[in-house]
Amino acid sequence: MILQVIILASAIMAILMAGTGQIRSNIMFYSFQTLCLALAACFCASIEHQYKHYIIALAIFLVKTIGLSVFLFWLTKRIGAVKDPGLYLPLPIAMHLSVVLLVFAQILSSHLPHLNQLQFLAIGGTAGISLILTGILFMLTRRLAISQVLGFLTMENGIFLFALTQSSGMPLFIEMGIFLDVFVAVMIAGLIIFRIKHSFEHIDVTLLTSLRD
Amino acid sequence: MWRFLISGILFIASILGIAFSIHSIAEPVHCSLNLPIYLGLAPVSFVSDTTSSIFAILLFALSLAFSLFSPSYLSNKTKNERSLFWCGSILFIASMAGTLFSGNAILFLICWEIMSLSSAALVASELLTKNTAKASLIYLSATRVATMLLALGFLSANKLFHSWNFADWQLMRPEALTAALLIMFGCFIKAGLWPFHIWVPYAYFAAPAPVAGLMSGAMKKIPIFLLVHLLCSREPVGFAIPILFLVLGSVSTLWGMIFALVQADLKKVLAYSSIENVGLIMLALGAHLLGLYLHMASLASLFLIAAIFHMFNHGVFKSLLFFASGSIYQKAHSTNLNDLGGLAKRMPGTFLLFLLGTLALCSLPPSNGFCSKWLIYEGLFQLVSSPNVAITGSAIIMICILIIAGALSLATMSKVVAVIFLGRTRTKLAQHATDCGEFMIVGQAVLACFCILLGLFSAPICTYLTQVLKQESFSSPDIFKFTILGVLCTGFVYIAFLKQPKRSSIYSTWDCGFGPLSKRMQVMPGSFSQPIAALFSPLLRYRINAEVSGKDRRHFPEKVVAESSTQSVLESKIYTPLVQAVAALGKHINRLQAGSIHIYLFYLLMTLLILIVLELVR
Amino acid sequence: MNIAIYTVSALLIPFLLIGFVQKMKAQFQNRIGAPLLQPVFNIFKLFGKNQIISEDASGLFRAGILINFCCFAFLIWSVPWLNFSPAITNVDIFFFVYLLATARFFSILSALDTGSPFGAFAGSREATISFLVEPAVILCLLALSILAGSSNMERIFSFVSQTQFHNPIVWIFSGIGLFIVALIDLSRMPIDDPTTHLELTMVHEAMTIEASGRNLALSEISYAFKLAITFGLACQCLLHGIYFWLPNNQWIIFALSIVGMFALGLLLAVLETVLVKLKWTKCPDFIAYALTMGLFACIAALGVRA
Repeated sequence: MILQVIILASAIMAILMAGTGQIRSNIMFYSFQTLCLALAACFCASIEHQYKHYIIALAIFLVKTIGLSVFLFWLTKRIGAVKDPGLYLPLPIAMHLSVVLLVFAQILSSHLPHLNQLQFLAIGGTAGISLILTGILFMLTRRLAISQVLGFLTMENGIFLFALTQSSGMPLFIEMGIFLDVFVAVMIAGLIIFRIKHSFEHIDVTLLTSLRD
Repeated sequence: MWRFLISGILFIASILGIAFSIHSIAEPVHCSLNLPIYLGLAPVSFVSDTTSSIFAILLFALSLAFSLFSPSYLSNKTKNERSLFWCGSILFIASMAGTLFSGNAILFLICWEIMSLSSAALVASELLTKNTAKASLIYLSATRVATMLLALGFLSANKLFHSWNFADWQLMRPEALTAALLIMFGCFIKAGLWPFHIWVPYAYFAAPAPVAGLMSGAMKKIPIFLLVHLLCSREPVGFAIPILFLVLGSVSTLWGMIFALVQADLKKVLAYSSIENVGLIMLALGAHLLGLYLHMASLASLFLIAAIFHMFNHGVFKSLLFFASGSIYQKAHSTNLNDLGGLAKRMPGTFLLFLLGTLALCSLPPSNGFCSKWLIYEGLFQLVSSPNVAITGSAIIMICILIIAGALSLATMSKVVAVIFLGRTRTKLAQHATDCGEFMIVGQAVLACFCILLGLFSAPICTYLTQVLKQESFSSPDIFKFTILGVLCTGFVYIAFLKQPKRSSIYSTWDCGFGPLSKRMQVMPGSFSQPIAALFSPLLRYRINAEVSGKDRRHFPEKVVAESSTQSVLESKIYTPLVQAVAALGKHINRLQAGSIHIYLFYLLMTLLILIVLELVR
Repeated sequence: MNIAIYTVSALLIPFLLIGFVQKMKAQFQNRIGAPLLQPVFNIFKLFGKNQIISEDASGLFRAGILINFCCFAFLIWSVPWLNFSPAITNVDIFFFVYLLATARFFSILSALDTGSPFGAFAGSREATISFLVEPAVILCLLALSILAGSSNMERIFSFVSQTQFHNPIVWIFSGIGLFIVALIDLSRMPIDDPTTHLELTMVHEAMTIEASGRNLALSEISYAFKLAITFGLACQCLLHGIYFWLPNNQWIIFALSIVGMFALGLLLAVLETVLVKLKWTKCPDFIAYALTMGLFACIAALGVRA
């Protein structure tokens, strides 16, 4: 029961993130989301008696919740972005659309075959798909590069949650590899953003199309 | 002098009509005229059964108030205008009664035509004083298209069922789908449902106010009567027709109210609000059909009663508001919201009656508008409890749509009441307004009394309607508490008002020390609705064009002009190109009519040759 | 007996709540602050004062304020903002929302009656806010009524135990949603700052700017009643959320409700001290959070029922 609440809480944090305009608030929501994910991994570990999940939970907590959030905060302060100036959808509509996507995710997940024997983990499928869809929506409707990074990270969270609850988790090495990849990718993205800001005076993705010519 | 005689006759006829309808609710009356009088395809037969009588009570109540209101309204018009008005309105009322009581399709069509043409004549009657030529043409063409669809539907129904009597038609069978759809779309156009609602603001703006009241109160209900008569209480075979009703009804509700918010003319606001209410009635009818389809009989009867009750309430309060707009037009010479203001002190009677009508329009308790809307909400809530997820979801969405439309109507009507009646007058014309004549007040007061009675006695009326329409009785919820609320509030307010304040001084409105407030330093219709209109700006194409001019524009502007504009996308992007395409096509076809004898002889010869060839080939 | 409880509570709790919020805000600002009963003293003072009515106002000015007050007086006896059954039952959720709308309609008309430009500002903003907030209120209440199977407010909020009623997720979401709606409807931060009276920021203060004497007293009483009703409903939702840990005694739950309302008042004081007033064009984004909470509550309720 508590596990279900925690899994749902991460999906809800993502939806609330879709409705927020300030970058710092987005990063806070992302870190709460990842914290819920780490807690869910702990609970899954205690239920399924697989000790590698404890290690994965600890890794998530350290690397993503604390490490990535601090890095993103530092990056935001360096480039001086406060809020996203380019929203293709008004914030309320993006948030309500994410809720609709949550309902869609529930319908989708109820049609999936249950790979895991435990019935009450079905909500993990819902939350996972919803996180992926919300991440895509986030990436589609924002202009700043940092928002694109956050959207991508949310999607990655969703994939992890889905794998965690619907199967008995991926092997430890693969999980660690994914972590390293994500961490390095975000570092590189951050550096590139910083460089773009340094050379182009803005981190607006749409204006990158002028590089075409 | 003549007008008082005519209105007296109309008054007595209305009372007789109401008495007759009440009598024939219990026992239906059939009346058929004998053979020398024949309509060519079907005899002249009148049938007044329960549904017709209920709708007829509404019609005759409105004509009662109309007869009281019109003589004073016509007091400063010329003799020609007056005779046109009386001829048109008597034909109008008589033909509407004819449509309600007709027993077969041919008589219905004839009366429908007379109704459309007489109302078109009335809409065009103030052609010289207002610039309404385009409006009359739009109304005329809309009603032509509606009649055409209706006639096609009747013809195909006759082909299927081999009879012209309505009682023999069963339009819910799968093979009758074409006929049902044609009749339905004809009714939708005439009732002003989205997306066929374009003609409504034009027509109601152009028509004289009492006629507009009659049109919105009674004429809009005739297509609904036809739909109820033919389609309801019979189980629909498919999912499609209820869904069509529900979707069009919901969109109408929302669409009408969004556009009502940004109108600058009182009659256009009332017209768009009529669109909203018709959407509501269609939504209730659609839910009734859905209930029949899902075999939930008590739910279906709840929705049918809600639809009929709302139709009653809407007829009464909308006519009240239109009549009040007529008295405003007569005394302040304009219904444009930017020209009025401060009329509460100058026209107190009209103000009080308008306020009562507004309470009903915004469906605020304890008015009658709230009672019928509450029934619809209750029905939608029961739909929410159904096990099918799709139905639950759509019921929740419809409840949200109704709430949003209610909030929009609150914003619209508070703006309208404030801009017309409260504050200071905005033009000289309105400053010299006085209250209208006693008969006009009595006419409006009659309608207001109907509103109050319908509101207070809504529970007994609903149970009576349930009995009479032989529906299954639904668990009638306790609407009587609204009466208790009304009485409590009135008592409390009265007691509080009895204690006159010992000391109260009159002073000017707080002006922040800048000096006396001018006429324009108060709420204007455009500014009140700006926040909500900006939220809906993609739909309304809401733009504010501001121009700042002067020698040194940035620092010392001399003139600032700001203008807000909205545009109806449906009209400009869909209807206008369509009409232009039809006109262009017509011009091309027009070339066939060359005007020369040789070409016509050529046509005759070609037709003859083609017929001979076809016969030889066969 | 319920009538007595509700009457005594209605006379005490709303004003104590306002006084408590003001006192807590003062404490956070390192001041001692006005006494707890200051709102009551203010109202008594206002009843004794002369009333000044604008020359442009018609009879609707006083009538509107009176009708506003009547609506809230009716609501405070018929909405289950305490855990006991209300004095007047048979109020269902749609009637509740529309009665609030009636009160709002008449207060907007009173504000616009005097032809004051501040009233015009306030009226249009109040109309916009009500348009944005009403769907949120109805969704939160609809979720609760889906759980309870009835739209009667008394039956939704009663503590008659049936396990299905007490799914905590739905109640907590509705509670949060109703609390955010309370913040918005009462024109508190971040929608409107109740301590500043600048034209560009006022919503509630500008509605009552022309009222003085007994009219202002009645407006203040109506505002206090609205605060009690909305906070009471939010508190009841949260209590239902933690139902499984509550004892079965009515009076203990009553005491907890009052403590809960004052805790929400403390939260309000904290929010008012910490938050910044939002620019007007950003307000719809904030109000969307309330609607989202309502949507979550509905989805959870449908999920529970299925």
